[in-house]
Amino acid sequence: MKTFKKTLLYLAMAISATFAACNKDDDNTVQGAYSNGIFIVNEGQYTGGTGTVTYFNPDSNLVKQNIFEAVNGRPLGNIAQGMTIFNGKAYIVLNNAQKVEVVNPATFKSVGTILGLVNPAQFLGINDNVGYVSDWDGNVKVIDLSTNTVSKTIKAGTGPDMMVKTSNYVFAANAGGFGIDSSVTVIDYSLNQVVKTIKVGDAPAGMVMDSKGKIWVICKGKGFSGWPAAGDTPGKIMRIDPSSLAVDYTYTFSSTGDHPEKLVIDKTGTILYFLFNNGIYSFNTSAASPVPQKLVSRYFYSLGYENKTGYLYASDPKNFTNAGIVLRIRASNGSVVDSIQAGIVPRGFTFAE
Amino acid sequence: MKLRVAFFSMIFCVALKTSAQAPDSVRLLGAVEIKADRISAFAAGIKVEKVDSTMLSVRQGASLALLLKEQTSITLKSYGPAGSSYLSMRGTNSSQSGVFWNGINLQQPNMAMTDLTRISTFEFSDIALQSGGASALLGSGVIGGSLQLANVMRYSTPLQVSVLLSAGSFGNTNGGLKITAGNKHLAYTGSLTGAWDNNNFKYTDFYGNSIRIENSLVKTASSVHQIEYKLNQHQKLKAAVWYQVTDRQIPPIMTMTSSDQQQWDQAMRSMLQWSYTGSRQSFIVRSAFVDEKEHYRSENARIDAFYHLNTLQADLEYKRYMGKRFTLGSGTTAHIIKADVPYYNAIEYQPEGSVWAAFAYTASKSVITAVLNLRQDFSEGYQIPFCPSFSAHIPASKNVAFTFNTSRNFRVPTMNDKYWNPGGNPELKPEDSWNIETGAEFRLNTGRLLNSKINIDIYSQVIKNMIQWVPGDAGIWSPQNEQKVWSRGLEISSRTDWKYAGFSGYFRFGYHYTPSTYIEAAAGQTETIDKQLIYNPLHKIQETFYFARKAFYSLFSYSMTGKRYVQSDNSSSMPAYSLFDMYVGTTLKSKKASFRLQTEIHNLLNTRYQSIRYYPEQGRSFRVSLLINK
Repeated sequence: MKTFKKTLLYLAMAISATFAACNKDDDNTVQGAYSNGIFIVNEGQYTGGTGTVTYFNPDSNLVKQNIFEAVNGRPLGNIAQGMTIFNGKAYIVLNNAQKVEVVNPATFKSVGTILGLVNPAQFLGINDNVGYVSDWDGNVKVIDLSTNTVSKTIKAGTGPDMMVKTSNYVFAANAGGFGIDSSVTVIDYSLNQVVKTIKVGDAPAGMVMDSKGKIWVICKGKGFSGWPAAGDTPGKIMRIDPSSLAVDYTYTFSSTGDHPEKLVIDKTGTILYFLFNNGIYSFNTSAASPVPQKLVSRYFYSLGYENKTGYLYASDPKNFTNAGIVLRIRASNGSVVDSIQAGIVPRGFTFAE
Repeated sequence: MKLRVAFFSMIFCVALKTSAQAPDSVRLLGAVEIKADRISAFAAGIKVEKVDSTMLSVRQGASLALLLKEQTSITLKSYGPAGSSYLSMRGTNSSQSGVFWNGINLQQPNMAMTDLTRISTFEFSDIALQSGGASALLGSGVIGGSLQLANVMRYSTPLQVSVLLSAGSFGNTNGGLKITAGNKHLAYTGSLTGAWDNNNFKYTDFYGNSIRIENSLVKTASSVHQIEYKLNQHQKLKAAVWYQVTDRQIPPIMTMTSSDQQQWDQAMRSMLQWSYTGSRQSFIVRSAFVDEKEHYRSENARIDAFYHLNTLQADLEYKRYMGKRFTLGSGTTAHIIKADVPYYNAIEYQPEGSVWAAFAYTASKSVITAVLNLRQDFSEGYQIPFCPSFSAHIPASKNVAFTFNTSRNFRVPTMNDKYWNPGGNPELKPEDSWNIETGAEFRLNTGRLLNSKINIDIYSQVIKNMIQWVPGDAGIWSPQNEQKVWSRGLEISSRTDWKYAGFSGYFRFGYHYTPSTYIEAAAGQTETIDKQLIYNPLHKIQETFYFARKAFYSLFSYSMTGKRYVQSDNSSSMPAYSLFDMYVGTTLKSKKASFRLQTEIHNLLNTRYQSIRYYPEQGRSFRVSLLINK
């Protein structure tokens, strides 16, 4: 019986391999079940859990849960951080599972797994052959995208997390991972070498590039939001000039009891949105002396921004152990559009554009 | 390897030395009543089941977790063979059951749980399960029930030495040495056990590949000593000490690729007791000290956390026997807990105390034994409810008896609940429950051929102010008293002993039906209302079939654990699984000693299962053991 089952399995594998081989030529043009939609990456339960990906098609309002397992017959792994689509492939980063799953974003079929990582945080595509993965082990790992293996390790600070690519450099914000740091590592990606470490505020947790090519960093500061304690430091919004590699602007929050995080930027590349003090705040970088403005008053765990619609995506994880929801909110006025049922602890938002 | 050799040679050297001095006498341990203080005097009507001595003997050297999982109908939350395993009785959480040894609750004060994989069955002569709320008798945290561990002290017995050696699949080995001795004035029992479990079993990963688990070595050593000295006809001094050390690697769960987590635990528990037993009254004065250390490390997660907890305890107990029918008891306890935990702001102290009184009455001709327990606990910062209990044992005839028990129970928040930074909540209220249950016991005797006993119990318990860690306004997790749980159920157990044509044996059957649902939940979690608590199966069946003929014996056991939900909205679950285990053994007796050789097959059908999702459990495994009694 067992042998029979095995034979069937091999047969099925052989057949699917044949089909896969036939389809190979039009890989990039394939329209799959998950083309043209929005992916919500859910962390999964902290213990005994797995990350999942929720697919949402705003045209048909179709929502499909756990699409990775549905397609590939195995769970994604925990704890899912986010997904990046690059060169026709989607890279899903799994922090605790110590890997990056690579899938075809249209079909969500697995096309590879990047191992050799400790606590990966983000994936960033560099060119056709190279990707970077920030790893909380204190390194940025250079990935050979043809073999999906780590080809080089670049030493960064403690817990490198968010990364932004300019025309010469990759900026990696050392958010601290399981510890604390207050620096941004600048890497020349043509040489895979660190060129500078820029001192910023404590726990630089978010980073984006504006329309003028400047890098905005949001620093959480030391401490936990809503839990003031001795030694806490305030959050900061800082701007780095990509040519001088120096901080040329700093906004310091007055409170040390709340800490800003989860930075996104709008489609014009001028307005920052972030989570702070149980709400979503905006910060107009083009204003003469900008101040954070509260847009929505509600606790959210994570934040995304969709260029096409100008909607913010904000996750309500509920009790962190059952399915959470994602609210779509108009960035223009903070009004709620609708809500999407997601998986356990919705965290990352990826827009196939 | 070197370490491992050293580890076992330590045990064997001691074993050889002692057995060489042993006199020519062989005695096997028999069944004796549990003497866990108040349990014996004021627990009539409360459900207490002793782990059968045959089973205990067959399962010598296994962990308590394995024994209970295989041979009882209670639920354990098991995080894989290299992970921890916790009691979960009557649909309650692991923090809502107690584990007691010599009047000491082994639940760690920081998290109120006791890992049963670290305790060997070899160390105790008597293991009993008490079911249902018993706070009026045993104090905080006894809501689902408790596990009672004891060693019976025997005076005037010659030196007895037992040596256990055992090895099995996956590089798992253990051994033990036990000594019991006594003269007219002195009784001693002591043991030394060790286990070296590589746990290097294979499981099937999500790609269908057979993967050998890594980072799964668990080393445990433990030594329990108990000595009792008769000062005179009425007075006794007793001292007990239990040292335990575990060094474990924590393997990756199935959704991870590797793990570098390690945990080292050490516990030293000691107690000293003076007792006076007269014809009309008795006193007990006891003090105990517990020192627990834990060191958790993971370089990947940048964690290097060292925990140090101490409990100092003092108990006074007085009993007065008024004729044959009335027993009055009263007493007081005082504890102080000191917790040095890296996630607290400072070293924290928690003083606790209690006063209690108990009245037991046995009617003439024993038509009823009724007990009233009253207890008030005090714990700094908490308003603890006054906890009464009333229980009765009613023998209706020679073969039928009924029990009844109702009690109020509580659990004081843990030190983590109070002090964890961030999130600790000093405003919490203790958990508070009312338990009501009734049971019946039927005996069927057909002379020497067949003896049957059937127990049926039904219970209902509502637990309010259940503590749950929930994300607060700013996303900080904090414990809150927002849940109310209704646990109720049916428990059936039966045992039939038989003798026929030179064969003897027994058949045990147990079934637990355990609905345990939320009846109130935190705001935003209303989808959990009327849903079953996670990892609590509705059904568990356990069967044991034992038979022996002359020097040979064999035991089969079967257990079925029903479907368990993994999310509190019951939207996903783990399938039911069944496990079979088999033991065959023989005992050879010489004039000087008896040698018991036993072979075991566990998970006979090689069932692939997980108790907690993504924590793989072992497939089929084999084990051989040699038990020498002298």
